Amino acid sequence: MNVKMGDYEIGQDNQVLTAMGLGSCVGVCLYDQDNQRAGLAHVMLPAEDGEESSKHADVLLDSVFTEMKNKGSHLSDLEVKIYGGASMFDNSFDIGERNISSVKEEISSRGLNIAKEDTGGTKGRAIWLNCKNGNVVVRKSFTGNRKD
Amino acid sequence: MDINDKQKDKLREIGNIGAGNASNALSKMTDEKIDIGFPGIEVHEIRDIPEEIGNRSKIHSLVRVEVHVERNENESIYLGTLMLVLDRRSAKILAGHLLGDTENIDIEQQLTESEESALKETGNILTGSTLSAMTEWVDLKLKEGVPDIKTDMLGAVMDEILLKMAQHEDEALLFQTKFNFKKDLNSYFIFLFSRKGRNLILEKLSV
Repeated sequence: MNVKMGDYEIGQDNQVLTAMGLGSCVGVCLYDQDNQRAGLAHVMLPAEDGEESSKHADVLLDSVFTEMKNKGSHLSDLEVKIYGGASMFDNSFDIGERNISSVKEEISSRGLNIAKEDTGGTKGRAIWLNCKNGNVVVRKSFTGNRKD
Repeated sequence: MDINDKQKDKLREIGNIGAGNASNALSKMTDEKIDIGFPGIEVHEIRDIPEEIGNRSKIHSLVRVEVHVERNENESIYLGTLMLVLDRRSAKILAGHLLGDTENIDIEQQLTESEESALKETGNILTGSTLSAMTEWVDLKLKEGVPDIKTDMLGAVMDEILLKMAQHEDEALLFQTKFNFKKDLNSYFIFLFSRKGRNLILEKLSV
């Protein structure tokens, strides 16, 4: 299942969730080992006061955490991994960095730690999240795949 | 979104003239015949735009030039971003033609610095010819930024352009036309208009 910008998906067992061509956006992977359930959110923009659109990190992450909880996951047990937030052009506005900071703030405000991250830099990423074991395969352009 | 069919047609007409000028410029640079496809002009959700152009995860080269409308000395409005988008193979072939070296094109190799420079310069020239066509129609002082090039996954190279717009709106007006060069090249000329910029142009056109 591919996850579009500003959206999230939740999968179970043998399903694989993907976010293709992440540039300055940030992919947030959540994994519930007990239930072999995973969620992937494709964050477009940092949190902003008064904004209620799922484009923003706070709104989108609130939705994915809430749905994971409603499905029976214990939020404190979730494993979190984050990817993306690159600066793709030389004359860049710092949206990638701001996305990373905002996502980290949202994660830590829930008392969670980030188990793995591959963020920043100047290259795009594609990620595949395996809902059964929580493994994430990361591909960067012109380099091979890596498993987290 | 506040745009009707008549306005869309008018923008298509302007875009078409701009793309026509751009294709003539490209034709002169490569000494090859360049045809342009029927231009598409549609409002899309910003999050859907990369898929409208191609496969998000495939490698593309994207040359981007930001365009502003200068209202006065102290005020300029972001009109939108012009883009030349080429898949990996097309970028190598076009760069080879621009540099006059069509014998040794290896499409498996990454773009060299001189190939990137040639494509960047092409973006500059295409933007210039498009904007001069637009200026005749809309009587606005248009100012182009410095061209930038990046080769990476399509979704990734488009992110910053889309996120800049997404800060203020959910949908964007996408003008895109395909350049048919050597028949099988996948190259697109794209103008993504911001809402403010688009409204300014429509106001000027009184449609």
